[in-house]
This record gives sequence, structure tokens and C-alpha cells, in this order.
Amino acid sequence: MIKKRQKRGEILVENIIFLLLNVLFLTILIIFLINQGNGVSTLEDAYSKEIALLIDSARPGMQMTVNMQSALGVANKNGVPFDQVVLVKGQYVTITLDQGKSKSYQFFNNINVTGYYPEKDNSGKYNGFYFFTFSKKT
Amino acid sequence: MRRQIGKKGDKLISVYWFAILVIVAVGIVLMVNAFYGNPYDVRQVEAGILADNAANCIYYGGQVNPLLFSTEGVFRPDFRDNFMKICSLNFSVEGEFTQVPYYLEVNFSNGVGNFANSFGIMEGNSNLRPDCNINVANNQNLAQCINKEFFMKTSSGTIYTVKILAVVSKVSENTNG
Amino acid sequence: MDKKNSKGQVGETLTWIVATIIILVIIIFFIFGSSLLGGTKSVTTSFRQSITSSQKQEPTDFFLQKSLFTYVSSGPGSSQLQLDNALEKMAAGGNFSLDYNATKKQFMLDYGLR
Repeated sequence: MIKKRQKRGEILVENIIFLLLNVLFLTILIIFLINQGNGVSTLEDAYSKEIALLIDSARPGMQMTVNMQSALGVANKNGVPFDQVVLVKGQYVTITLDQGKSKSYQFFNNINVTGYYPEKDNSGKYNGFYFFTFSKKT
Repeated sequence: MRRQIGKKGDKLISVYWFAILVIVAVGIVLMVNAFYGNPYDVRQVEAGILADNAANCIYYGGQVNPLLFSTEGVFRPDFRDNFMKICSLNFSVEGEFTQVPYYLEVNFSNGVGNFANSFGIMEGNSNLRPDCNINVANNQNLAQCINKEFFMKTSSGTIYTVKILAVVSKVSENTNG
Repeated sequence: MDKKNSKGQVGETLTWIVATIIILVIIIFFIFGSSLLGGTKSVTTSFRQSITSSQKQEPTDFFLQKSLFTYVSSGPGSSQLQLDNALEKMAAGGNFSLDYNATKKQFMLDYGLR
């Protein structure tokens, strides 16, 4: 009688462990897929190249607006202030969409990126557009 | 006896089950990485913009850059010396051992269809130039080259053929290699 | 009794082995497929059409326009004939992103009579 009870207990524990491991596996897989869907590295890659190419094509006096609405959501989610997403330093554009992660791309146009800042809508919230102005380097 | 064998079989199946789960998980990770992990290759566009910028600097709106020729109508060597500044280009890189990922070559020849160079400008990393002569089907891991050609007419009426070669390497930023 | 049991076990193991092989084959097939589909995305010069409206942006070829400008400004003569031949050759070689004849016609209308 005692033996029987022990066996039943074993079966229950085994099944619970089996189920828990399955759930753990599925959770890890879903987290991985969601992170990939976030596309931090894909977005950083695309935006750094897009902005570098825009700077390459720019001429002094030009003004450009870049649609970065996809980046706005990701930056907010990862706790990166939207006004710190784009950094133009030297001959490099750096895009940061996650804490401690960023991607840079070099441009060759020797132009002054006089100003670059995110635009805000009437309510003072970022609308996902970045504004760039260019002037001649002296 | 029979029950024991059944139990052993169950355990074997559950181990097998997790082995399959691991295989499937590794497969999915590889698939997602293969699909999303590749960067955009923008080097052809970038080299095109570089060639455009150089061409516009030399000949724009039917006017040859006034700094290119002397009053006697000969090429000015200081145009070559200050080409980067005149044409608003900057190939400088960060880091001491980083190689310049650009190369630009402009050749002028007198007349149409004449391939004897009268004047040439070379800027950037000339080590990238040989990559343009390699003909392979998959040239992603080589520098990307763009060859452009146009004709320009000087104020004295002389026609020059201008050939521009723009090369961009940046292999690691634009490929998975 | 024992014999029957071991037969059942062999059958079950065989099923699992076959199933594993099938799963592996399918996974390898999908990995290959996704790497083909998601291979490095080359952005070519036609990218402008995909991000801009054709109503807002006119396609352009700086090099063809520069050469045609030289062509129309050189006036009738041997040099214009040489230029014409050279440009025809370049157009035949697919060097221009615009239709050569149409652009040339437009250039002649815009600048040729001046």
C-alpha cells in the first residue's frame, strides 16, 4: 500500500517537471522571437546607413526631415531618450536604440551638420521625425 | 516487469522529446539569424553618390570648375593637391589602424574616345583598386566599384572625357563576412 | 511476454529515429531557405523609387545630363558627331539609367536651339 502511494507521487512529479520544462522552453523561444522582432540591430543598421547616405548627398543650406517612427517606439521601450538616438560626430553617424548598444556608419561628405533634433507635435511629444540642417564647413 | 520496461521507455521518450525540442530551437535561432542577421549592403549607392559628388564638383551646369584650369587652359596641379577640400570630401577615419574605406580616381583625357590621360586625380586608399578587376560571381566580400564617364566642354571649346572610379570597401558593415 | 515487449520497444525507437531524421531534414531545408530569402539585402540605385513618389522626384542621371549638355553646347561639327557616336555606344552598353534617346530629345528641345 505504501509502495503504491510512492509510485503515484513519482509519476506526478515527473509529469510536472516535464510540463515545466516544456513551458520554460516555449517561454525562452517566444522571448527570443519577440526580441528579434524588435529589430534593434536591424533598425540601427538601416537608420545609420540611411542618414549617412543622406549626409553624403547633402549640400550646404539644405534641410532634411527623416522619418524615424519605427525607431521611436523601440527607443522608448528600451529607455533611450529619442533626442539621444542620433549622434553625428566627426565623419560618423551613430544610432543608439538600446542601452549600451549602437551602430555607426561613416560618411565622406565634408559638410557641417549644423543641427539635428527630433521634431515634436503640438502636444510637445516626439512625432518620430528627425530634422537635419547643413552648412558649409569653414 | 512489464511496467518497469514501460517506465524506462517513457523516460527514454521524454529525453528524446527534449532532444527534439533543442534541435528545433537551434534551428529556429539559425533561421531567424539567417533571415534578420544580414545587414543592408548600400555600398553601390554610396559609391554612386561619391562619383556624383566628384562629377558635380568638376562640371556643374555646363561650367567647368574655375579652379581646374589655369588662364592658359592647362590643368592646375593645385586642384589635384586640394581636390578633397575643393570638392568637400573627407575620408578621415577614427582609430590609428583603421584603413580608409574609400578610393576615388578621376582621369581626364583630351577629346572623345581618346584614352591617353592628360590629367589624373587619386584620393583615398589605393589598395582597394585591385578589387575592381576581380571578376567573381559573389563579390560581396570585395570592395564595390562604380565606373562613370562623361564629356565636358571647357570655356575654350576643348572637349574632355572624364572617367570617374569610385570604390567603397566597408565589407564588415555591409556583409555578414 | 518478454519478446513481445522488446519488439514494441524496437518499433518505437525506430519511429523516433525516423521522425528525428525527418525533423532534421525539414529544419535544414528551412535554414537554407531563410538564408536565401534573407541574404544580404543589396540596395541598388533604384532604391529611390521605393521610398519616394514618382510625382515628387524625377529620375535623373547626372552623367548623361552632363554629357548631353556638352553635346548640345558643342554645336554642329565633327566633335558633336564624335560625341553622338560615343554616347550611342555608351547607351548601347547600358551605361545610363535614363532612356538615352528620350533624354537627348528633351535636351535638344530645351537647350539645342539656343
